[in-house]
Amino acid sequence: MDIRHLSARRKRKFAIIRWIIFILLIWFVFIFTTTGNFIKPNLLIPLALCICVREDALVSAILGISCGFLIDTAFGKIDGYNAIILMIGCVCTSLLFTHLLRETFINITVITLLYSAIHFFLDYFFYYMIWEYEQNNVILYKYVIPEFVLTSVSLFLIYPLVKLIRNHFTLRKMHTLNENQALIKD
Amino acid sequence: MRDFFKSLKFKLILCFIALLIGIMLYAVNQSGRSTGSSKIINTISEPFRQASTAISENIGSKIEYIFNSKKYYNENTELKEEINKLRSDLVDYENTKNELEELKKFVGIKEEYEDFTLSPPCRVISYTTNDPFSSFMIDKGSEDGISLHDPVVTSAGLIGTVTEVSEKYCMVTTILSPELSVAVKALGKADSGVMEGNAKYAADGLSHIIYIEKNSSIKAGDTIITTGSSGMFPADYLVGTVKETGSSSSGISDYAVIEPFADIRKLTSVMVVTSFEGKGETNGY
Repeated sequence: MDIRHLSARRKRKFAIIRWIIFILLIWFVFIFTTTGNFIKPNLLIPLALCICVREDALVSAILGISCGFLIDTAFGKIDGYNAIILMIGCVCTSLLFTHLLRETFINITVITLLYSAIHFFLDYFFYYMIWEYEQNNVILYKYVIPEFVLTSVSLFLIYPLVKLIRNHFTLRKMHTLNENQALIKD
Repeated sequence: MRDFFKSLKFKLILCFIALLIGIMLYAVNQSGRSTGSSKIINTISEPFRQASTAISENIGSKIEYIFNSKKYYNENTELKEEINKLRSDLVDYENTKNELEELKKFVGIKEEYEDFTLSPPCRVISYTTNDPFSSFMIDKGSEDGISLHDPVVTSAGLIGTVTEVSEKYCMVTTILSPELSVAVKALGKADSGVMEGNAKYAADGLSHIIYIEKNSSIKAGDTIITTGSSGMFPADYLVGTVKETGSSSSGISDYAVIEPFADIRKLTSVMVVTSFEGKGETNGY
């Protein structure tokens, strides 16, 4: 009983540290995104998707909403627009990796590419295409496609980082010799 | 998976979606006023963004110094040769003029346009990420007397207008954006038109004037100023110079490409004209 109690406490402690690091990382990425006037990747997308790979659907929904609001603020979109899209993306990612897919880099890359493609298409459609601005294709070639490419490439940096944090701050089930003996006695 | 759709979690997620749609609709209805979520995020992140912008500007200037050192060296040599040809009193005059120009950067606007009521100098906190039309956020808001649709300027020329206002910050839409139309004319000429941004030109920091009367006298090098006829912008304020002219695709009017006097994509501080003569008075447009 003592062993179980101690283990749950340690597990909670590790989870708290892990989430503090994730929140700080999200905040750092948001500040980076709002700095300077040059084409930048939307790092919050791969970051949110990579984090929610091993998280529960409800936690992923909350993460998606939070990161979505940050994207809305940084990219000057209507409040709630990206929150809805990213929340759906995060919940789907969580469900897919919980029920259907194995956590491999290829799978995460495919999911991120798919989500990013939908995200940037919707952005382009709602913010530029339907308003029929002159020379809209310039926006597509000079802004939307480079942003999509940069976001996709940034996964090579984000995924190992998230994996490293998660591996370091997730308590795995390990039975020490003493624990085994205690269990036998019980 | 089927269990998930029957679970409480799924119902909660549906509630989130409904709530977010509500927030979105509320945000759309605000027409220029910041909503709660962006207000909270912007208020919390403002000091971080200011610090990060300061670091980025510092690093940027150092990188520019390293990469452009050869260019600067060549320019410097050329300038030295040129200066040697000039008389010493002319050098003194130039130095004094430069110093004065720096000092008068902001005071000059007030001196030249007496009817202006200006906000305190506003620092550009951050540009909207990956915005083709370079909209940006400034660190002054309604607490400093700024209201929606106030014109934003620098001593060099017109920048844009305030399109979202909060107590402590504002969003500015620039003259590179197709969402902003400004009535303009060529200095010393009767020809006028409507300046509107365009994706093609905005990428190079340029804007363009449309609806110029066919075969007008506007030509490359002309100075463009505001007409003030809409009541949204002060009259006779500098905008930019004409870079090129041409005939529109429909053939019924001419257009002109404008290079704004201020480099809109690299601003660090601006001012907001909170009041001016003729504000809100329309004149035929």
